[in-house]
Amino acid sequence: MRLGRKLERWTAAGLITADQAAAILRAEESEAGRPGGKWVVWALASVGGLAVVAGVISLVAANWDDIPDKVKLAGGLTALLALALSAREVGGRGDGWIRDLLLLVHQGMALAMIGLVAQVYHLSGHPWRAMALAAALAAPAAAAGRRALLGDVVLYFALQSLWFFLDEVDVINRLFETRQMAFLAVAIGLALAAARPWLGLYARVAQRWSIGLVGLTLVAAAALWSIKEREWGSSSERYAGVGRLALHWPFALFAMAALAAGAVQVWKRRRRDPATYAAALLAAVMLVGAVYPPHWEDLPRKIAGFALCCGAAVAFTFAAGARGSRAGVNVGTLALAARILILFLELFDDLTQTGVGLIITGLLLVGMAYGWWRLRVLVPVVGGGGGGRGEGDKPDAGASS
Amino acid sequence: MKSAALPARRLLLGLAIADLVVFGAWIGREEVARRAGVEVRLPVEGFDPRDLLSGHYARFQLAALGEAYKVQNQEEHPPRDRPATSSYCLEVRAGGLAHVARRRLPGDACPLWISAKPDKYARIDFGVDRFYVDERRRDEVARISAGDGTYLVARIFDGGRIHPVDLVLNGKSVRGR
Repeated sequence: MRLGRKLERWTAAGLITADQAAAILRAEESEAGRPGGKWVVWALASVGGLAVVAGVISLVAANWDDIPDKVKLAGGLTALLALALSAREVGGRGDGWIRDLLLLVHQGMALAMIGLVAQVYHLSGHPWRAMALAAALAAPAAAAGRRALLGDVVLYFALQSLWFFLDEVDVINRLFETRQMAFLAVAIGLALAAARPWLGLYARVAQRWSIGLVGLTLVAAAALWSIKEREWGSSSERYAGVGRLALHWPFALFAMAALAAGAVQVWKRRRRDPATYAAALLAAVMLVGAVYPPHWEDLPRKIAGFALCCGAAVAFTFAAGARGSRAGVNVGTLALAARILILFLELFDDLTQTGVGLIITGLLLVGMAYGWWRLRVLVPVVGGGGGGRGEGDKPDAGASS
Repeated sequence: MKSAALPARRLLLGLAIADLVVFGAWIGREEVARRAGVEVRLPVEGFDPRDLLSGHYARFQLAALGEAYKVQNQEEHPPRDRPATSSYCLEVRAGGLAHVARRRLPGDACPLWISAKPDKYARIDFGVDRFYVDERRRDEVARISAGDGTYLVARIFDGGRIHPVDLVLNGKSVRGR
């Protein structure tokens, strides 16, 4: 509905006066007239700018083999220096977006320059070194800039370098086959979460990577509880001869990172929230159980995994609610609903069970929706009950779990 | 505001200097290796005209690799563990091509030698397995098969490292030297 019609309705209902309606309309119109509001102009200009850049790159690429190596190298190095020095000169002009754009291009250009040197001198192998060097050169740019995206680039380069390194030392397959990769991913996520208080501007970068790594791993862990025992047994037998430390080092990293994240959580937050600890504990049990599965029959294991996942989701929802994070409450509720739906998909065998299962699932979801609505009494952020934006809708309870 | 801007300016100056030092040193080292090293012709076998995942690169395997394995298998006491590095003496035979003659032992005075590192499967790895090819020559390169006239021209420098200079396929230089 258009704003004008809404204002007419609100005026007619006596919610606002005609003067207030006129003032709101004036304010909105003046906002729409500001340069920042002209998103269509910016969008067209951006597409045009990108087309010009892509065209220049295509022209260079078309004549790439005719350009002498020395010119390519000198051009690449000059571009790198020009980007860094231009960013220095531009400084915080405006709100610093020009500098940060130049620094972002510098981060990409540094990686391209590494590739160029490798191409000109026909160098092979060790891609982790290239990514590590790119991460090292991207870090000062992130430190000098003020946009979180610059930090994302550094983290991506660093994690990609770690991935290539693990591949080079032939560990990556083993990590996946023994499921220890889950511990490594969560350990990195927890380490980032623990480091947040000291990262200043880049705390949000650490937060989203932490949530991503921990969240995706927990989804995978929840799924692993449903896999039949014989499907994972062969990999654990394959590495029977490998030493304990060589096999389980990611678990040690996970334990240390969990302790560090827990210590920071206790130290930094005055309020002791039982729901956060419950969510963390249940998620940890689910993770450990997914990597070291109990030798149970398939059905009890599936049900135990289901209970753990649901328990963690409920605890997470309450923890997020207690912190005033509506996004966290919604994520927790959706995770719970998805897990209930998946259980019945797992248990389906024939049409009768399918029908009964769907009815039970439907009733449970309706019940959940009702419970979620009732929950607003306990958790004010649910349903927009005015709990406010305690931690700015940062679902960092996920990081701590 | 001024105090926050100052470290950023210093950092960015440092970044520009780091760019110059890192890439300058890297390029300088490769250039020195190509100018100061000893030129050899290393025969190539096992040839793939294009590395589709990396662009226009010809992938190849040095004949020295098979020769090094042969030397290793003939040894009475081959090393059981993965050696950190191993080096092999070269001898130039007919056609000016360099072949592995023997393992280079400590104190061995062979004038020409190359070094290898074990890869993740404990295989010998000379660190050279691809060469950038001009896109317009891709059809020509695709018809080449390994043979006597197919070899890598390289410079040997800094501890037996191989620095590729040119790839010759059936007597024709890829770089047009």
